[in-house]
Amino acid sequence: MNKLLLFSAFLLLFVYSNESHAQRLYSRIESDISIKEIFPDGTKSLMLGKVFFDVENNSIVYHIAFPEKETMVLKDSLVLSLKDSVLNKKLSSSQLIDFSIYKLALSGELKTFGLDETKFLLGRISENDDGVSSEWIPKIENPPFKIIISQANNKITGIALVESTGKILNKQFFKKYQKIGRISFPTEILEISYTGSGVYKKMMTHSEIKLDNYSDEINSSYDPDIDAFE
Amino acid sequence: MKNHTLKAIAAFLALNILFTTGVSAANGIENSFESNESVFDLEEDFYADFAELDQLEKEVKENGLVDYDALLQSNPDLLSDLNLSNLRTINSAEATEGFSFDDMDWGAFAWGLLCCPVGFFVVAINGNKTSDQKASFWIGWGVGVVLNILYVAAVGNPINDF
Repeated sequence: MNKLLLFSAFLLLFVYSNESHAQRLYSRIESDISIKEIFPDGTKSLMLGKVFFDVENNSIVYHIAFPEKETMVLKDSLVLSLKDSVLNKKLSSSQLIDFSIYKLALSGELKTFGLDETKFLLGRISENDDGVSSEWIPKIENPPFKIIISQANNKITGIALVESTGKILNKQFFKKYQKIGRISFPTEILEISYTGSGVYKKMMTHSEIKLDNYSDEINSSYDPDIDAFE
Repeated sequence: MKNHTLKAIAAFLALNILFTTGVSAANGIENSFESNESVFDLEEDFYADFAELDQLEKEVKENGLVDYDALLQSNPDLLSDLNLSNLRTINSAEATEGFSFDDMDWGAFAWGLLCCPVGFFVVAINGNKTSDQKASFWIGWGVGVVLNILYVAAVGNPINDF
């Protein structure tokens, strides 16, 4: 029974891992955004627009300008896609916001990607020429994978998901940090996933980053009227 | 009734333990992995692979964020191999719309149920997972939450027993 309780506690801690106790530094962040992707089949994708995140609303809003004008709202367990203020798609989602780079950055948790709030076991820490890397391991016997975080100058520079065999499944790089107010934000995020069908690559770029912008003309961008669609 | 519920939940969690740990010997956690060296090496051709998209971005911005149709008319060569599945780009969860029981991917379901934070990386934000796999992950996560709420309701919060 003790093992059962331990397992249950472990599961609970993981499930509720998003309940961060970190100090919030800012409540809002907005940015121009560019998302480029290359899929394993060789096709490519480009999206340009703006992204808005508000802690109080707990919502991420993408105002996409290219390839098509579209507003996407990630809030609670929903993703709403609006075109010309008309509901285009309504999808189910969950908990993405709590692990978003925006929320982690505003709460000062980006340095460890919030993993120190999840009860992952901090494993080996090693120094290299570029900084420090630390292993975060699921607290189970024979964990099939680990997460490795690379840090330099007290900032996260990379995160990787690695199988116990040493095979890398996914890695992300956080580059070109920009100091804005009291936070440093990586304006360039690179991602590589290795799959059976090939390699997936993604480059996300942020520019014109603003914090705590409460000007009247911008409020509707953070909080579009979606009540009718929820 | 309470005992029956407790037994059912306990049996399910016991199965979870077996499924998760694989009835294995207690090996050291850190010893099972290889070295971390070179994990964060970035392939030399990474940026070069994005050259076409960089050019397209430049073109679009110089033209005041024209939409796809307008750019298609002005410069069709740039758009010849673009994938317009934009929803896939920014919505990692993708759709559960139209999802049925037959579409369930049980591996992804297990990730959501048993190890949500890591499953988040393996499935939810993996651009190469299908919408059905991602939906299965989130369903697994939801089932895990419900089971834990039931468990806590039945026996109290086990964290307090530590």
